Formats: sequence, structure tokens, C-alpha cells
Amino acid sequence: MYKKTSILIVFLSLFLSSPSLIAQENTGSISGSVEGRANFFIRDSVIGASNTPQYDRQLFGAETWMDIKYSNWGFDFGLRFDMFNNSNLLNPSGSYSDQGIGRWYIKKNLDKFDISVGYLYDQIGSGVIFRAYEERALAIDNALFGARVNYYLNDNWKIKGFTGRQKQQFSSYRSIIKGGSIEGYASIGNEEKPITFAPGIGVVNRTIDDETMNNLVSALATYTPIDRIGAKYNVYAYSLYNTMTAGNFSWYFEGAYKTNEVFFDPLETKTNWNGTTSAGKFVNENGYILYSSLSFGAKGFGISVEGKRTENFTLRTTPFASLNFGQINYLPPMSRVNTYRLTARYNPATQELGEQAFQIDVKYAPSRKVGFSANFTNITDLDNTQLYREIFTQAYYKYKRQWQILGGLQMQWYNQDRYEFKPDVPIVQTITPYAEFLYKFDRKKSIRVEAQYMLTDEDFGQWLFGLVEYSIAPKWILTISDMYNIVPKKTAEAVNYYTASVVHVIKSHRFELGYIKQVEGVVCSGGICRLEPAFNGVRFTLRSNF
Amino acid sequence: MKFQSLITIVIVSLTLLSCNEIMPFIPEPKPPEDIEKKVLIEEFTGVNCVQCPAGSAEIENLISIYGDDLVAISVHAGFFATPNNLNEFDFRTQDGNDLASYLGEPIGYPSAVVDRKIFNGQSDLQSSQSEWAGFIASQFELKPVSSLALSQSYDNSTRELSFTASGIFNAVPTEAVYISAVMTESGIIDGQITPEGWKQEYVHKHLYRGAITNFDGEVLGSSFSLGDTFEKSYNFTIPDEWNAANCELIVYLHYNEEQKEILQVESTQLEE
Repeated sequence: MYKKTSILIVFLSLFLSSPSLIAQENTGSISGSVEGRANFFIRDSVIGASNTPQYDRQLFGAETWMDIKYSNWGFDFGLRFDMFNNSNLLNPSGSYSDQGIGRWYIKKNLDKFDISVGYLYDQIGSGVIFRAYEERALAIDNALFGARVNYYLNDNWKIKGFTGRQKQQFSSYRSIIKGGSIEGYASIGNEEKPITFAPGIGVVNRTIDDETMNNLVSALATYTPIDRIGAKYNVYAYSLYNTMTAGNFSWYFEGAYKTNEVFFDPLETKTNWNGTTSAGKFVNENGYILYSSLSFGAKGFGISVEGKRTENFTLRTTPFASLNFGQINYLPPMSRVNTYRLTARYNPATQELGEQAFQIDVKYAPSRKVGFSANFTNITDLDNTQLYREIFTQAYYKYKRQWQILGGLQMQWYNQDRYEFKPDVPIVQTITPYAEFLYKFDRKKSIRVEAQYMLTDEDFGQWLFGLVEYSIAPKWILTISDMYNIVPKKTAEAVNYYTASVVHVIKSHRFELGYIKQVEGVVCSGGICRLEPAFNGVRFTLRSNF
Repeated sequence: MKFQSLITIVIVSLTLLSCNEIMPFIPEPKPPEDIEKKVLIEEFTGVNCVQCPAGSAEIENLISIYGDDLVAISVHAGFFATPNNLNEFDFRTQDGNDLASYLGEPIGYPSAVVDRKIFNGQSDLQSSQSEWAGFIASQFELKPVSSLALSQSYDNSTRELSFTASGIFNAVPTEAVYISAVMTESGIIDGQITPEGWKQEYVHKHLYRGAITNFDGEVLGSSFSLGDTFEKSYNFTIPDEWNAANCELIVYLHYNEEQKEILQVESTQLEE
């Protein structure tokens, strides 16, 4: 805490002294952003918005992040204050309170080098062996607390090296992470129609600290001979990747391999000393991932095909980390990102231990008025058990600049047993037609209407969703919506999930106040998901850039 | 490009060289000899938690290794503990809910608190199933701050339980010492979700019935010196709905101010 206070004083000194420096040299720049969220919880046991500290007694929770960046003298400085008050962001069924400096960094450019220290965000390739990133909606802040050097061989080639420890709320995990990459750019052929390459190789190593290894050894020592495995301090992950572009084609490929390491597999069966068996045990395996995408884009037409195969590619700071915690890497999702309320209800979380998936995405726009798109996604495990399948279609028509209509159909097969650990539940099969209509009264005023219907006999049953949004650009957005469980399967009576909100924008400041009643579900960002309990209450959010 | 090739070769070579590490020795599973410090594991579970039977099985596995030196309590509390219409009983208690809040709600289930200690790599007291064995083993290596002995008598006709906890301090505690007494019950049959589906005949063990003291204990003394002794007696009437034959009395000494760590724990079945 004392160290962080010292850092704060140093940074504040720099920032407070900057106006005079700006006046003298006119070279410094300062910018920042604020994001805040306040939840007022209203207990509603009918929808399951209950039995958490917030609903039972705390009644209020809040999160705030304030970022400040300052650049001068060839340095970049950054500082972020984080605050969590009775927050359910980290633990949806619990409460978390803490505050302090969530991030600081200093970066210096030195001729062909740049050197950064502090809490750093970065990745190698698409992130399959290393990605240090922040995803606030899921309380993920996997910054690397350490140092990084970039060396620019020339305009096209760069070598990167880094080492540090992963951030864990306001402290750090003890395992050491280090790695590096070489990335570049090259082209062949004539200048008018070149074939370009953006290749790279990367390596990441994680070394477990002694205390963690002692705990791991103690855990493995309790295993029966049939399950007995050894353990290593170090794991290495290598990746090779390249983007090739030729005319209208673009092809990305990444292959990664991970050496043997001990990790916890919740699907493996463990034999106990008392003769019983139970689910979940440590295993010692290597792993790999192959990922590729090929896309073609021409005027009015685009198609992309993606494929991925993953086996035992969990890579965490410690073998004991679970859920969304301690992930050193990031496995890209292999399904389309849906945005409508009902089409986004069931999301496939990336399966790091075993998954094979592909998707095809096609877009065709014969004119500026009309467009069509379609997507097909298929995900299975390595034994070809169906995990997820989606067929998604969409068409739109734009009439001048006055109105536009958009609609389509989505069909899903969602293995709820596997994604949400709900045994014996059937595959959720949905058919969801949806439509959106936008009408512009004039340059400022417009109204947008959404309608969706989810046909399904599983999980909660059938849903009807409607939304009306009235905008007075650029300052006001008024929205009301209702998600109606029209044929309920889990409650005796159909439940309405109303939402009403108002958004006010002043320059780069955005304020939103709304009453929200939200059904429980899986919330995903990228391929990382978690189960979110139902929410009922009032939410205020603020986003501001300066 | 020659320079890049050189760098590549250097990185790959260094990586391959550093693969050559000495692996740690994995010993045979046996409890340490002459255990003095017993260990308390407080498991948080729920009838709608599909992974929780695996957690309970892991506790039974560890008990089969460590015997009664490992004392278990299973607290039904939180999101997954709400009974559904197939359940005959509601295992949640006010003391259990208070205990979950006091120790911190788990992020995922099953979860457990081992000796109410924050171990290396943890940001709170709760730990996942894969961590329990290691934490428990490290706690057995410790010397207890105090000894703890239990003597009890139980009258089945009146369901009156009388017991006395006593001990002597082998080290000087760093803050005030509290004493807690709780009751658990095993062998209760009721529904539980499992990976194979809903199991109506599931046998629940070490079920937290409630605290005899306050849920977070009561003060035994604000300061103790080496060699100090203590003796504390209680009377408690076993509720009719509890099966006394399957009940276990658990008493533990612990901190309750700056820390919450368990100093020593003892348990006993009720005997007439």
C-alpha cells in the first residue's frame, strides 16, 4: 500500500507540474476517461434476484475506473484509479469491496527501442499463447505487472520481450511469466498487386513459485497410484502465425503448442482412497491449438471461413486458477457476436480443453439499399459431441435516408449441459425470428423498434421481446423494452422483464439511468463467459472522455 | 534477415536449454507423523450445485487419509443452496448464511475455507476443490498455538448436551482468542443435483446445523501467555429434528479480529 501511495504521489507531481511545462514547451498532452456504474438492488425472489449480499442487506453496489494519460519528454505515463464498493462484478453471487491504483505504467521511446514498465496490456499473435488485457464487464484485468522491451529492427520488423507477473485484483499472482516474439511484414510481386505477409513467432514461459509447487505436490501426494502424475515448474507455449494478403483474399493462420504441464480437468474421473470415484483431477498433458481464417472481399460481396481445433490448451498463472481467473492466453471465439437480446441469449463459451469448430460468414449487398448476410457455426468437442450450432440470416432494406427495415431468422442448438454444467437437461433448440425498423423524422429525431420471438421448448421456454427507442440526436435516447416469458417452463406464471432507460450525452460525456429487470443467463465477452444471476434494480452508468 | 535468424536461433536454444529442470518429488500419501495441529475445512455447498458432490467426495477422500485429524463442516448457503420442490429439507440456516458472509461468499462452488487462512496465491479465504489437499497438508505441518480437549455427556431422554473445552497454550497468540462450538449432522438423505442428474437418495454428510456459540464465536480471552490454561463449559439442547446419533460436536479456537485463523479444532460424536 505504501509503495502504491508513493507511485501516486510521483504521478500527481508530474501531472500537477505539467501545465507550466505545457506553457513553456507546449509539448505535453494529458487525456483520460472515467467509467462508473452504480447498482441499486431491488429484491425479487420470483426471478431469482435474491440470496446475495446486495439483495439481502447491502442494497447498493458500485464500480469506478478513472484513467489518466500524460505524454511528454518522450515518455508516456498512465495511472488508473479503480474502486469496487459492494460490487458483484467479480463474484456475481458475492460482494467485493476494495479500491486503489488499478494500473500505472511508464513508457519511454529510445531510438530503436521502446521500454515500458508497470501494468502492461499486450498480446502475441491473436493471443492464443499470451494476451494481457482488460474486460471490465467480466471483471477481467489480466495486466502483466512487469517490463517490456520492443526493438525495431527496421520499419517492418520488431522484436518484443517481456517479463512480469499477472495482476490479481490489487496484487499479483506469484508465478513468473516471460516471453517474446518476432513480428514483421514483407511483400512480393509488383507494387500494384503485391502479395503481403505479416509473419510472427512467439514463445511464452510460466514458472510456478515454490509455495504453489509445494501445494501442488501436497495435492498430488493424495492421489492413488492409478492417478499419480509428476509436476514441472515450467511450461512453454510456442506459436507461429502469419497473415497473407493477395488481392481480395486474406488468410490468417496460427498454430500453437504447449509443453506438458499439470492442470485441473473437471471432466476427468479420479479414484479415491476410500474406493469411490469423483469428478475432476489434475492431469499432466501437453496441448495445441490450430486456428485459421480465410476471407474474400469484393465490392458488395464478402465471405469468410474460420476454423479452430483445440486440445488441452489451458494456460494459467497457477494450476489452481479456475473460472475466468489467471488466464495467460486468450482463445478466440468461433461463433458470431449476436447483439439482439434474444439472439444473444445463448452463447458458446470457448472450450479450452477440447473443441473443434468452424464458421462461414457471407455478406452480399447488390446495392446500397439492399443487403443480405448469413452465418453458419458448428462447434463440437473432440469426440464429435455437438456443443453448439447456429444458422443466422439477415436482410435489410434502406429507403433513402428516411427509414430502414432489417430482419432475419436465427436457429440454435445449444448444449446447456456442457456450457452451464446442468446435467440431464436437453439440448436447447431455438428458432428466433427478429426484425428492426428505424424511422427518421428529421436529421435529429428518430424512432427504432425491435421485435423478436424465441421459439423453444427447453430451459425457460418461449420468449417475446419488444423494444422502442426514441432518439433526439445527439443528446437524448429514451428506451423501453420488455422481455416476456410468454410460454414459461420454470415459473408458474409468465414473467415480464421490463427495462426503461434514458441516456443523455453532453459532448464526450454519456450518462445513463435505467430500471432493469433481467433474467439469469450466460454473459460472454469474446469467448469467455460466466453465469450471471438475475438482476432487478436501478442502474446508473457514466462514461466520459477528456 | 540474418540478424533475425540469429535471434530466433538464440531464443529457441535458450528455451530448449531451460526445459531441463529438476522435477519435484511426489511423496506417498500418508498423514504426517505425530500430528498435533488438527485442521478444519468449512465447505460451502448447495443442493443445486452440480459440482458439489465431487467436492464432498474429495473431503471424504482426504478424511480417509487423515482420519479424524481433519474436521469437516458442510455449510449450505448462497445461490446454489436454495432448495427446489424435490427437496424435503431446507439445509440453509441463519448461522450458515452469516458464516458465508463472515468468511466471504465463494465465487464458484464447491468452495471451502481451510483453517480460515489466506494461503499463497489467494486473495480471500475461499479456495477451490483442487487447492484443498495442498492447503490441508501444509496446515498439518504446523504446531498448534494451543491444545484443545473435549469432554462431554449427552442425555438422550432430555436431549441435553453438556460439554467442556479445555487446553493449554503452547505459544503466545498474537491477538484475542475466540472459541466457537457448532453442531453438524451426517447421514441425511435428500435430493442433490449431481453430474449424472438429480439424485433423490443422496447422503449429505457433515451438514452444518448451527452454532452453539455465536456463529463467529465468543471471546475466550484477550491475551494469553505461554502455559496459560483455559476451561469453558456449555449446555445445549439438541433439537428434536436432529438425529443425535449422527451429530458431531465441533469446537475450535480462532482469531476474530485482524485475522480469522483457526488455532486448533477438536470434534466428538455425542455419547451418553
